[in-house]
Amino acid sequence: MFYINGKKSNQNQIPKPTKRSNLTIVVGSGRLGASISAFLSDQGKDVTVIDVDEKSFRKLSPDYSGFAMAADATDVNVLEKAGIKTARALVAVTNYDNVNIMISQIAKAIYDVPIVVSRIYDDTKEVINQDYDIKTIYPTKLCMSSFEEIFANN
Amino acid sequence: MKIAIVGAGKKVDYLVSSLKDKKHQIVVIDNNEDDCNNLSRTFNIDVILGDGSKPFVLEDAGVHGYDLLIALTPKDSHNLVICQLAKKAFGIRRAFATVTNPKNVSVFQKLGINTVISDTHIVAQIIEQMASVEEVVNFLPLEDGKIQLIEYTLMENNKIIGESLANIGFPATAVIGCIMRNGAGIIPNGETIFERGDRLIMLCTNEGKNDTLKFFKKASRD
Repeated sequence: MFYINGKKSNQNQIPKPTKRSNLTIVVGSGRLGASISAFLSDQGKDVTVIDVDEKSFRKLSPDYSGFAMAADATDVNVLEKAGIKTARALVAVTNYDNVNIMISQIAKAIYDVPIVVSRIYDDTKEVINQDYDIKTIYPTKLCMSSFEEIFANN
Repeated sequence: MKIAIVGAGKKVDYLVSSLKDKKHQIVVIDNNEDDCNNLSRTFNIDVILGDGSKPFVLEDAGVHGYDLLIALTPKDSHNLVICQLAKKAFGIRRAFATVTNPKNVSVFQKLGINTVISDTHIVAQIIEQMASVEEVVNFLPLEDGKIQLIEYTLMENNKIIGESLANIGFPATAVIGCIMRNGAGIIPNGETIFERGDRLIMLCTNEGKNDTLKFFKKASRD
């Protein structure tokens, strides 16, 4: 930020969108991503699923009624095209932890998306998202708690 | 200085050799075995084989308390995570990242990584600025182009020759920091008289750049 003749230059400010649609963007059309997309579209929500690999959309259920975009979602232009500026939620569930981290941080810190969910396999990376309001799913922790339950009951 | 480099390949080879000449302590982390072997054979430095975006690999490399980390992998998302880990979990204050997508320069900055280098971005910026002005010898964008260092030579027909700095009505949005005259530097004050061939070194904000260029355009034309 710079001040010129006492006037603040606002080059860095991002315009905050006022209205949110009921769109959810799902990044990654793997097994989890495809299931989430089908679940949301079943509930009557608008869904756009993005994946780099067009073939992965085969995993979407035949009833899925949202959009599918074959593109690299780590590019902000792709996210904007998908409608991130007005989206209500973003779910980052690609197979790559780092990609999920990057996309969920972009959604939260730059576009201020109200609900951001991300899946991270490696729970030692927890520290990285601590400064952001991102809901994170750790499959290892979930499996571990299921295992403990099963083992305790037997 | 203690420097950690994540990534390998030609860029890293060159970087390591130049940093080693300056007697810095270096550790390189990369997940390609051949590249790791090559590096350790050529340079006699510590090389760690592994994914540098994993905390335990950085732990193995012992990067705690290092002065600088440079992330040079080909994947932008890797570089982001590596730099954030370095800052948040390993207390490394300065983390540099390179990005392949020029748009990610501003994205990374908004996510807390301030020093981001995109070669495409830099070359585009330089070409754009070279093309926009004629007599300006040199432009150096600082702080991602928000501040500009401008070098300008006074040609024969320039109106400000023979005038003092106080009298030329120089724009308030820029400062003349130094005048190079016959190979020596002069720090100007209001009474300094400009001479032919003076090379002015100026510092201004991006907004002040236009005022400065307009000023010199006018002075050399009339």
